[in-house]
Amino acid sequence: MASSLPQYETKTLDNGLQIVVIPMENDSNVISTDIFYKVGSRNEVMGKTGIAHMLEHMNFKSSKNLEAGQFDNEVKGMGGVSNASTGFDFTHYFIKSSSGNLDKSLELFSELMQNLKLQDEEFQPERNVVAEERRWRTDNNPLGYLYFRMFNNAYIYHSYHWTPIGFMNDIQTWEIEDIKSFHETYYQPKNAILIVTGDINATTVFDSASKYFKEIKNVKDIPDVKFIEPEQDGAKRVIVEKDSEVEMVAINYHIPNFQSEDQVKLSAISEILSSGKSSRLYQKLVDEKQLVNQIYAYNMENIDAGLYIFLAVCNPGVKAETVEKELLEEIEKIKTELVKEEELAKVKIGTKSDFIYSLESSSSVANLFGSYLIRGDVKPLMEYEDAINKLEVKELKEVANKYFQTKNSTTVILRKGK
Amino acid sequence: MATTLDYLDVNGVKIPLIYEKDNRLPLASAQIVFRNSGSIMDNNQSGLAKLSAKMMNEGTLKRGSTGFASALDAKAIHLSVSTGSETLVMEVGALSEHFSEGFGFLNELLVEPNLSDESLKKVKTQVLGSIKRKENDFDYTANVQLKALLYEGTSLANPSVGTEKSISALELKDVKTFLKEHLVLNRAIIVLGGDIDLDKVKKELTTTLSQLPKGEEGTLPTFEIRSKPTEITLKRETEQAYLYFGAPYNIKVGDTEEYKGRVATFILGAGGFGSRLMEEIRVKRGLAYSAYARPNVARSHSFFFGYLQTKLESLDEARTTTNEVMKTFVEKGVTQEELDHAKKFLLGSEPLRVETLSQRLSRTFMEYYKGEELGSSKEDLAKIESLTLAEVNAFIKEHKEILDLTYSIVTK
Repeated sequence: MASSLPQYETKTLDNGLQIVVIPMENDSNVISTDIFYKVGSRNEVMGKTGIAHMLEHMNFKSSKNLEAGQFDNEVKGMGGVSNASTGFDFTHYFIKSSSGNLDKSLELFSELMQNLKLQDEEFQPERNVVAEERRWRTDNNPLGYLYFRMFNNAYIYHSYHWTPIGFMNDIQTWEIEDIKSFHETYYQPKNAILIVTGDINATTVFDSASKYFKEIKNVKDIPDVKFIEPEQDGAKRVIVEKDSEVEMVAINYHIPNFQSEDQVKLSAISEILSSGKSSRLYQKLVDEKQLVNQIYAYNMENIDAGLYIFLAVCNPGVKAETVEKELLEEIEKIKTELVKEEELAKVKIGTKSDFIYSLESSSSVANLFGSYLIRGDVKPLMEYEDAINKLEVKELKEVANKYFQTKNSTTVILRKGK
Repeated sequence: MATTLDYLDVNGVKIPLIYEKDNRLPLASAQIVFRNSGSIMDNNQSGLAKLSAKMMNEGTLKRGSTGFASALDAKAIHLSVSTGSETLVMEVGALSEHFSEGFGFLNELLVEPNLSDESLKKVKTQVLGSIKRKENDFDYTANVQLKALLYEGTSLANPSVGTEKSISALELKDVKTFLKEHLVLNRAIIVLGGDIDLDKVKKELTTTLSQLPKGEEGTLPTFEIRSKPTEITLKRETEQAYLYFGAPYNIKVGDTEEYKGRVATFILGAGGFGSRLMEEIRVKRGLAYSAYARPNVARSHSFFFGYLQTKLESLDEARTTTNEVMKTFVEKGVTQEELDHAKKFLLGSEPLRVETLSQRLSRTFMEYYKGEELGSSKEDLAKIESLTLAEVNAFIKEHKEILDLTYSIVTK
């Protein structure tokens, strides 16, 4: 079956910067110009966690040719919008604008890549902003806090031990030299991918990108991430005490990285377990037993081996252990019984539909392709629909047995302390 | 590709139909928007509109919630019912090959929705669970308290999801009465788009909507904001202080000056980075991750509104700074440079607001809903282009009411 995805064109400059163009031929006069750097919290070490995210913030401070805040000013001046985000594996910047502003967007991104000043007087107040962001999203938000503690406990050695925001003490103790060195290492052309999607043709992008980026030099080698999480040797169980009106529970299992052929099977399990009202977990825990008001199950697809995450927010008065027991029963069911053919059929048509909906805007196309390209392999994306369509029910049972093992699990419960 | 306005005659009721054909992707969607039907119609039954919409998402009596959802998912058809503050919306979306079947499901739902006691009990449990969980969401808490102060004694003072008390008190007959009164032809507006055969879909829509009574169009209540500012401070186990603020904004839907407000408030606090508030609060002082202030102009009410979150010990500084930024703005107005910059953004970003079909349909719907000419958004841009510094500053000076700030604070 043909893929629903559009074709892309790509070219790599001599300095290693890969340029990818996905023309959408929709006369929208809108493009998304995105730069992805292959650096995230995965590239950090204990004591300096959160630095990739801090650097993302510093990208909007002054550079050789831009004053602090001018980047945003220039983007708004052309009627564009911009933003950035930092994840475990990569950092993503985008400018969305009318097609005629491609040159300006590229000029701005090339300035950030080579000319950031990274001054201490701009860094100090921005550090406080990041501390506020951590308080807001993590420390003062029970679900955010559970999520942070989940990674702290599921990984004991690999840098996925923390989420991209980092530990508060590190946020408060980095020095500007740390940020500079991180920038010098990871913001090199050979470590980036430029992606332009929307109403534009490839030649225009290649020509313009070459003009703004070809002179930027690489200055040093990029260290490999050598962390490999040791195989888990027994079930872990953690109780986190946090002020929360309702209890929460997460069960995690270690799974392989995004390139594994098992990922497609795990995705299908995620869909069957927790996508929409017809999904098993919704049906059982929300509908029938009324134990939870939020539930999801999903497989992380990361550069290094990730997690399969079950996470539930209980209804008032419901103990996390009650939900945990039900979750384990559902997990056992998927390991011992074949899913129904119609459940798998739902996954297949749902996937097709999701892909087509993602083609509505230049931003969603950029996000979809960018997230694979920057992890170093677009093949799993291009073959995804085909692989889903070929899936058989017995494969889901096999893969569930392979990964959903007690000794491979980390269970985290969050509730108010006594 | 233009979005057009047409009408569909159903049982003698002329229903507005906003439509755009777009066959670039094999997708189609239809929304039936019921006016005068959102949370502001809750009256003293806070949460009723939202709960009623949730009940309509529970499938049919015959198939049940899961059975209905499974049948939809088997064809990747999205069918949902939701509410805003003024409207209740039914939406069907699907790959175009399954779009007609979507109407079949909507038909079933209208004929025999799952309005049972059992279903109500379940939905109430879910809503009560989410209300309880929101007790740890201090943005939510501060926002709800702000609205309670600004619109004391009206539907707007109550949270749209309801409270533990109001939800517990709702009965099945309340939901039935609400739906009977609001899901009626005289309140409907259709918004239709995508890769479809219009004549065929019109027939399907006519059949489906024939299930509904004509009913009454109803009237939209309007609400006045409190004129004298006040404040409330709630103490919680929190690691940050949440500062929410609101004030009157004397601009109504259809006001010929509304476009000036759009420019002015973009500069003050609606524009994100580069806005005066964000620059002072975040960039210069590092007090907060985000700080916004913007007007909200709806048909039923208008107000000015803003928020920030800061560390506990910075609350006073953040509040003083916000006050100063607002005061300087109203007293001294904006500069030519700021005006030029705002114009460049508002004019240059136009393509971004109409990139997707759903954006275009939504814009045309809003123009129609607000009683404006179709295409008025474009005309506003022309007005913005010729706006002078003297005009925008005169506007700002006339709107001193935004300084009458009511505060809702959550801190430790």
